[in-house]
Amino acid sequence: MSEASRYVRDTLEVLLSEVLGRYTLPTGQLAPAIWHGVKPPSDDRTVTGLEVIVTQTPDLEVTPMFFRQAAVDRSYQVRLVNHGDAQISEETIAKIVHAFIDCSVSSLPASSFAPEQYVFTLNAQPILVR
Amino acid sequence: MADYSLEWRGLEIADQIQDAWVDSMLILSREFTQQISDPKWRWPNNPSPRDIVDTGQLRSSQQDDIQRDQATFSWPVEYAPYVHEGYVGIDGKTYPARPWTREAIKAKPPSEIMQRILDL
Repeated sequence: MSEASRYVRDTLEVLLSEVLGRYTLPTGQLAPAIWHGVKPPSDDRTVTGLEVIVTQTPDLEVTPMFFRQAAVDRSYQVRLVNHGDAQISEETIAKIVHAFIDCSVSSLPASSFAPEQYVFTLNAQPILVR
Repeated sequence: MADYSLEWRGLEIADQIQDAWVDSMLILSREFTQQISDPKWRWPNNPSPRDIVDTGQLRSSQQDDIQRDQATFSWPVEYAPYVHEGYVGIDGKTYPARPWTREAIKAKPPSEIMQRILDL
């Protein structure tokens, strides 16, 4: 399962390389602001610009089928968080939709308690379990 | 030859389908409220899991507009979409998604509910 989320992470890193923000690591080094993990990123991270959070654990939905078979639908969540001043561009959204086609997206505007963010649900090929 | 006759009461059938639709939407409406009150959602602080009621504003804000051919449910409080989709706060903390609409539709699928009502 984590191979699929790793693919998502690597694809997004290439796709968004021009707009991706930066993490400042405790050592002072800079790294692309793309998080890939089972747990959410730590609260005390230092980030500037556009942050991408890829959830490693998929949401699963099992549909029973005939002859003791089942289809397992998997979806992965990707969140774009805008820690910068400029809005997340439509072009950035379009790039992700174009790369992953079978997906849905929700937008959360900037508010008094949260920066602007978009939440993508990317659907992977179902697995047939026999 | 046998004498056959067929009486097609289409309007009556359409009425029954529309009644079943309205009833299924009323059931779904109650399920939305139930899901918001359900102590099952992951939460960044203890105790977790817990419900998402907090001040009760989200739950009590629910507005239903159920017509015979469409239904709209809304929660007109600023933070509703953030609770539903989860968010990263200005403080950098990640607040998990608590998608009560998807859970309600999973728990009470309108097409199955309609089918059960029509079978009665």
